[in-house]
Amino acid sequence: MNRKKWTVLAIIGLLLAANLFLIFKKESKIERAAYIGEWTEVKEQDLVLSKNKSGVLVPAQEEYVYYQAGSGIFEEFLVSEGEEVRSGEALFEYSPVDIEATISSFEAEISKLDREKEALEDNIDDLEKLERTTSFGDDNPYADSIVNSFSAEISEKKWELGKVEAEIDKYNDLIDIAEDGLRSLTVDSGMAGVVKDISYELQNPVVTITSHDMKVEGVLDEDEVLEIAEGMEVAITSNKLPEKLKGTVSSVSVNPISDPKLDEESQYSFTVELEEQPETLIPVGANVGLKIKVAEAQDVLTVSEKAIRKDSIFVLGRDGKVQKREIEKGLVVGKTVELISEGEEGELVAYEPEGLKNQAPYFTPINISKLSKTELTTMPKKEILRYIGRGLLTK
Amino acid sequence: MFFQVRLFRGLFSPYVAAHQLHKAEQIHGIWTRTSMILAISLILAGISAFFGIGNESLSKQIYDVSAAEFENMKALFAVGQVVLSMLITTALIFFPALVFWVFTDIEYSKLVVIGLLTAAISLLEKAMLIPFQLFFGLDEASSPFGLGVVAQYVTRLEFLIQLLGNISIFSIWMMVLHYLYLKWTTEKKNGVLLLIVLSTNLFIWIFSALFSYIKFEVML
Repeated sequence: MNRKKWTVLAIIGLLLAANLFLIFKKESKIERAAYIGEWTEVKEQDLVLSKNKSGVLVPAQEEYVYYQAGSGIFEEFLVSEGEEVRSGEALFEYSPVDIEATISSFEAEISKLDREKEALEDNIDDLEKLERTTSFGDDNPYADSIVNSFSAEISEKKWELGKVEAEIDKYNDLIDIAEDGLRSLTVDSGMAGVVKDISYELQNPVVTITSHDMKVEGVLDEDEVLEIAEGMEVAITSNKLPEKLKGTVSSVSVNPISDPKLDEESQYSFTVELEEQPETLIPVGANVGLKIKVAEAQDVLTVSEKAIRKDSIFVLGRDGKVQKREIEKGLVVGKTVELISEGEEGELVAYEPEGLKNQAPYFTPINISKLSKTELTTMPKKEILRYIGRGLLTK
Repeated sequence: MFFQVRLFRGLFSPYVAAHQLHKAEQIHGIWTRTSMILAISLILAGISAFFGIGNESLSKQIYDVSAAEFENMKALFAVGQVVLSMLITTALIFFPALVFWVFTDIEYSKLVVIGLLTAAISLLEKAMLIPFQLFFGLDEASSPFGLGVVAQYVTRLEFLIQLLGNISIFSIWMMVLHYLYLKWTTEKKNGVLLLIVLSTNLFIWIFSALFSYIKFEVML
């Protein structure tokens, strides 16, 4: 009895093994149908790949005003921090160095002349002393002529003294004139804006002016800096703004913000130029949200990435057979992939295809949620019976 | 004494059950077992149809009708499939019984019991086929349990493939069961019984193959 059972089992086992081999071997002759549980559609739509970042509002322009320490004497600031200035408005005054130098040189001359004057006066005193002593001396036939020569010399020296004093007066007059004509020079603002900072210690830049116009600045990491480029459109949002603002990426820095360090993520700054300045009041320094349009594809055929398996999609053919189609992927936004290769809008493709063969007839399960009782009642009785009949006769 | 229809016992201890059947004067539990078999047939067919097994002919219409209509069509188709399955099961129970009743002297009810047993086997086969149909897309003719696979490699004749496909481990088991039960419940000669059993089963297989071969469904 046992032997019989074993032979029977052996035969069964053999049959099963042979069948399974023949069914599953490569290039098997056994046609297999494909179960397609879920499917999705090829859609035509616009694809936009955006990147969300945050940024901060900063003044679009900053003007730095400098004062050279040697160019004169600083007089005073004409504006204060926080004050609004127009283009061309005077910021501070100083007296230029030329006139000061001139006055100094005049004064130096005067000093020199004063010394000369002193020397001459001393000289004259000495001569007069000698003249007096000589005139009160012995009866000398030459005494008169000596006294006369002293007098002559004294007169000469007095004449020279007069000249020097005249020079001194001349220089004093010149100094007066120079000081009268001393104009204060001003340095004006090159643009309209607000005075952000004044250095009262005269550290350069002595005045910083920021424009009213604003732009947005943000930070990118190492991967992002390669993705974002100048010219990309940006949408700017903030809870302080009623509507989105439009802008464009105006620059992406090539060099990182701080010196590159090993194992430290480098960061890169980028700026967004606003197309229009915000109409509502929003403070400088406010944080805003940015949506940068990195790439776009308009009116393209798209399919869910879950329908793609090894660069192929499995189209539910209109002949009831599965069509395996190799595709070329274009832009990918999230789970949606642009199809560059051929395709038609509305074509149905298998979702998450697994082990589907080309040209296999496909069957689909009944999706209870899509059944419609109302549709059923509107179906003509003939149709209803026809489909039941087909099920009855299919074996 | 009476015979209580018990399917497991009938299938796996046929000798004992057959002799009890032979000696019994009353048989209990035929209708309950019949309803049970039919219910299982309904459930199995329902599951199979729910997964869409066999509805390939409707698939191409997926583009022509709305989603709701498509599902409705499949649901109606499923109804047809279930009805067919139940009809087949019923035939398997009562038709061989009828033939045997004509050619032997056994009571019809006893032969119906045999029919119930063989129907149970056919349901078992169907249940075991469902995973192959669902996961591997195989149809009945390509069942790993039968000769259809080999047939497809050997011949191109569709009818022959269908016929050989109907000969499977389970259908042979059914035939063996027919023979054994008849042998143990009647005095007729074994040779005659063998002939009857063979021809009946062969008839069923051929009829089934024809039904598959002639695609009636395209007429609708």
